[in-house]
Amino acid sequence: MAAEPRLSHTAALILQAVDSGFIYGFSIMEATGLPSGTVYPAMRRLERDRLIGSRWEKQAIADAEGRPPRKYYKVTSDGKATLAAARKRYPLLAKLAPTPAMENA
Amino acid sequence: MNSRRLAVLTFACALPLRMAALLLRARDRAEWLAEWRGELHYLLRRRVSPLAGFAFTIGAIPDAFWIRRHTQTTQLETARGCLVVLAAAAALSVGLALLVPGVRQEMFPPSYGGPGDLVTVSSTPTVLGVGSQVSAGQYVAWTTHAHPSLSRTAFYEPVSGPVDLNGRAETWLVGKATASLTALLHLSVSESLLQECSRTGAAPLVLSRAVWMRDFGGTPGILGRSLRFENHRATIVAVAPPIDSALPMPMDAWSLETDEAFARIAAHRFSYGYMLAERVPASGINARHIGSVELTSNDDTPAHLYVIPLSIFAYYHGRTPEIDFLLGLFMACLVMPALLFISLQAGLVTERLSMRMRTRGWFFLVAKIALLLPLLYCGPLLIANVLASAPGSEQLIQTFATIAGALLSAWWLLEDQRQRCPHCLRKLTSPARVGERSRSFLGFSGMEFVCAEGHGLLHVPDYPTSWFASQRWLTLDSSWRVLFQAGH
Repeated sequence: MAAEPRLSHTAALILQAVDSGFIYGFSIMEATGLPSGTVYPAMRRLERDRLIGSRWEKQAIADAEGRPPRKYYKVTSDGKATLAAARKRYPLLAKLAPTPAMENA
Repeated sequence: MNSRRLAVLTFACALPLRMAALLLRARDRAEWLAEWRGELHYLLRRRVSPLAGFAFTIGAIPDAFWIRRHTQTTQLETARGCLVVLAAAAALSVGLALLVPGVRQEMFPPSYGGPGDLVTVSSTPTVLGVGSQVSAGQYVAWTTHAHPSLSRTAFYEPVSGPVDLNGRAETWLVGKATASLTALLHLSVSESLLQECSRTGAAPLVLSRAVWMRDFGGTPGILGRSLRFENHRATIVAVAPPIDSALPMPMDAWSLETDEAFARIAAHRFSYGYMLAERVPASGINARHIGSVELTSNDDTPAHLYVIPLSIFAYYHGRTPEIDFLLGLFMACLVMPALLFISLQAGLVTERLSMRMRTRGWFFLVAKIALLLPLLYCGPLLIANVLASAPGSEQLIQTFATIAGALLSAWWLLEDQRQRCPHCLRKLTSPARVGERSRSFLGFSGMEFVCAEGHGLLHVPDYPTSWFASQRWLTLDSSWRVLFQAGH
């Protein structure tokens, strides 16, 4: 069995935030409190390691709402397994990165 | 937030994005910019402060750097890219050197622009220092009788003194010259200006070309302007031809003395200066070499003198940056074996390679050296031009900068050549420590680099062992290629 990649606390926090439903860069920044210069390079690393995937919002939807399209991120199956291992390593991870529902409450 | 303020804020925040995007490959740039612009759009509509918006976009810079580092191969990694970058640097340095007037003049010194038949007459055949000076009394004595080889003569005695340039005080070296200097230099001086000088008692002044350019900006309407030299009024009546570097001692100006005034100078025992003359072309005096002439003094005693063409002074006084460059290279070559001893010992990858590959490697090395040479010539010249504060210091700065540049270049050439795949000449990547950490030396036994194209591995020992005494190249056969294709 291949060893799970060991994430830094910051990377685990970002992965937790994406898994919790914060699916674009700015919302991840808000959820984690991390600056853009940390969040985006960390997401590139996670995407390179195939722990998260990305897709562009359809142009038609963005055009209809008169705004630019966004790039959305989603945790992959490998990412979920890694996140589970990271939660064991960092037990307070879930509390540090709340879900969008908690944010809106 | 009103729409105008939002537009300004959007524009200001987009600037760092545009700058950061330049770090990326063109094909990655559009998507990266679209993501950051999209995020910025949402951020600014959240009515955040301008500072927060700006701080957000500043984060794009580390992001762009990360992408560049992990996805983009630098230009220097491929052989062609390396040569292109070196060629661009060489072209830039040559271009800058040609654009900076001082450096251009040193690279292409103007040829002697004075009258071609001018010579200095001296009792010693020297071109250095004040050795070619004669006394004003000797000049008078030697010019009493005409000589068939010399058609015109003039004399000037260098005098240093303060000059007042419209309230700006400077010190000039002015030659107290005989009136015949204007004819000798083929200068046309306006009679009305000379009459004005004699009427007002002002000394007619011939400016040197260098001072005319330096202190008066080369203004054409300089003639007739008055200034004060040694608290005496002087009027500029002419500008000398560009003979500054060709004179035994360059002057800032010449003051044309009347016959009476020069007789007083000649009567003084310690009035020494330079005797200029115009050689008769048909005479036996050579225009390029030091010759001799016998003049008869006023007491009919012959004087054996030397005639030194001004073009010889121009040659000796002119700076020769190419000599300083070669001297710097030579001195660097002397020091190089001591400084690069360890690097030279490690050697280059040449074993078990075909002649074609070896030749290609050597061609690449020679091409790099050829492109570095203009950089090594023009770079120190530019540095010397910027840093030189005293006359003559340019040579020293240029020579030392050339030595430093040549040593750095040699070190880089060896390191770069060694860290390239001998098959494709790409920079080897993915350095990895190999072996167990040594108990004796507290270090790993070596490091391995791999060619991104899958041509082979280079093992570089950190210290010589029975396993690997020197670096060794391990060629990977085509069966390994499949591992490397995925990375492309």
